[in-house]
Amino acid sequence: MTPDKQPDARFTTATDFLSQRLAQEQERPARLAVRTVLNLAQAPGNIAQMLSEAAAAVGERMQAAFKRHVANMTDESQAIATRLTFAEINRVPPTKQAEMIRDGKDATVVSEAAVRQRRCAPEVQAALVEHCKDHSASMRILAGRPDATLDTLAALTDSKDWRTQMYVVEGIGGRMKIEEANAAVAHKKAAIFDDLIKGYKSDYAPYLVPVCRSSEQISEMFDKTSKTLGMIEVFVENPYTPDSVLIEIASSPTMQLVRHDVARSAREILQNRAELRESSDDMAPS
Amino acid sequence: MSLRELNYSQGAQWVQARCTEKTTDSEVSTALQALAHAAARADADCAVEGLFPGSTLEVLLSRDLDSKDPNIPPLPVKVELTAMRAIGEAIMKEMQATATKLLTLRVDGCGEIVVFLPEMRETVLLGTRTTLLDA
Repeated sequence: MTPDKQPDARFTTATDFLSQRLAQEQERPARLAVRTVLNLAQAPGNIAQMLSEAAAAVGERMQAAFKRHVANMTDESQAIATRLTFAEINRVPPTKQAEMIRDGKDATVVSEAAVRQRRCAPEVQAALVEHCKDHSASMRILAGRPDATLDTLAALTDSKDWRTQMYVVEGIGGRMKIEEANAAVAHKKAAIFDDLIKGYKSDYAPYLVPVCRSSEQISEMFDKTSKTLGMIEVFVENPYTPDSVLIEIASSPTMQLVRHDVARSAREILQNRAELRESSDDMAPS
Repeated sequence: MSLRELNYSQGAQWVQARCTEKTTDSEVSTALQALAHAAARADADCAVEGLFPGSTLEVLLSRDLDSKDPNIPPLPVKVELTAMRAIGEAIMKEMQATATKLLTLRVDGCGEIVVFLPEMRETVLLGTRTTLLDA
C-alpha cells in the first residue's frame, strides 16, 4: 500500500518492527491504550456512525480505565509514579505534576517516574529539585537532561554526587558556547559558571577551560588541576590563558617528560606572543 | 501528508486488487474515509478488535501527541460492511504474500496506526511502549 500519495505505510516483520522501535525507545513516551471491541460483523445499523461514536467515546473510556488501573495499586507512591509515567499521554498539566511530586516526595519511584518522562517541564524540574534533591539517581538523570533549565543546574551545582556534578558541568560548558541575547539569561549562566569555578576539580577542565574568557579564572583553574592528568592541553589551546600559566607548562620538568608535545606548544605560543608584542612596539610612534 | 490529503481512491484500488469480496472502489474509498475520520476523532490511544469482519486483525492507534488540532475528514453517510471486510482481506493477503505480520501507517497530524495479527499483540505493545487497559 505504498503509492505516491499514500501515507507512510509499510508491511513489516516482528523482528524489523521491534529492532527499529527499541532503537528509538528514549524518544518515545510511555503510552496507554484502551481496549475497544467493535465486532462490526454483528453490529446493527450505520457503521460510519458507530465508528465515529466509538472514537469520540474512547477518551472517556480511557480515563475510567486508568482510574481503575491506579486504584488497584495498594501503594500510594506507586500509584503516583504510575500517574507521572503516563502524564504526557494523559495531558496532565505541569503544575498538577508538581503537586504529585510533592505528595510523593519521599518515594524515589515518584521522582524517577517524573524525571524519566520524554518532556520534563520547568515546573516539574523545580518541584523535583525542591522536594527530591536527596534522590541521587533522579537528580543525576535530571542534571543530564538536555532540557534541564538553568535554575535546575544552578540548584545542582552543590550536589555531592560526582556524576551529577559532571552533568551540570557538561551542561553549563555546552551552554557557555551559546551567545545569549537575553542579558538575564546570560547573567544567570555566568553566575553558575562562577560557582562551578569556586568548587573546581580537575575533571571539569575539558568542559570549563575551553569556554572560559577570563585569564584570572583560567589561572585559578590551572592551579587546582592535577598536572599528571591529560587535562593540560585545554589550557594551552585557550587564547585567554595568561603567560604565567603557559610559562609554568613550558618550563615544568614533569610536563617536558610526560607531555612533551603540550610543553612545546606552550613554548611556541609564548614565542608568538613575544614576537607580536615586539612588532607592535616597533610600530608604535617614537 | 495530512488525513484530508489522503488519496482514498488509490487506497481503494490497492484493496480491490487483493480481495475477492464483491465491492466497489467507491465503497472501499468511503470505508477508508470513515476509518480516517475515526482515527482523527479518537481522543485517546486505543487497541481495536473486530474492526475488519472476516479477519482476526487488530489495530492499535497511537495518536500524534504534538498535534494540537487534528484535521478531521468528514464522516461519510454510509459504510458497507463488505468494504470493511475487503480491507481486512486485502491486508491479510498482503501479509501472507510478503511473509509479514504487521502493517504500520504514519499519518501527519493523526499519529501511527499498526494493524497486526493477534499473536503480535505483545510485540506491538512492547515496540510502541504501550500499556493496554481494559475498559
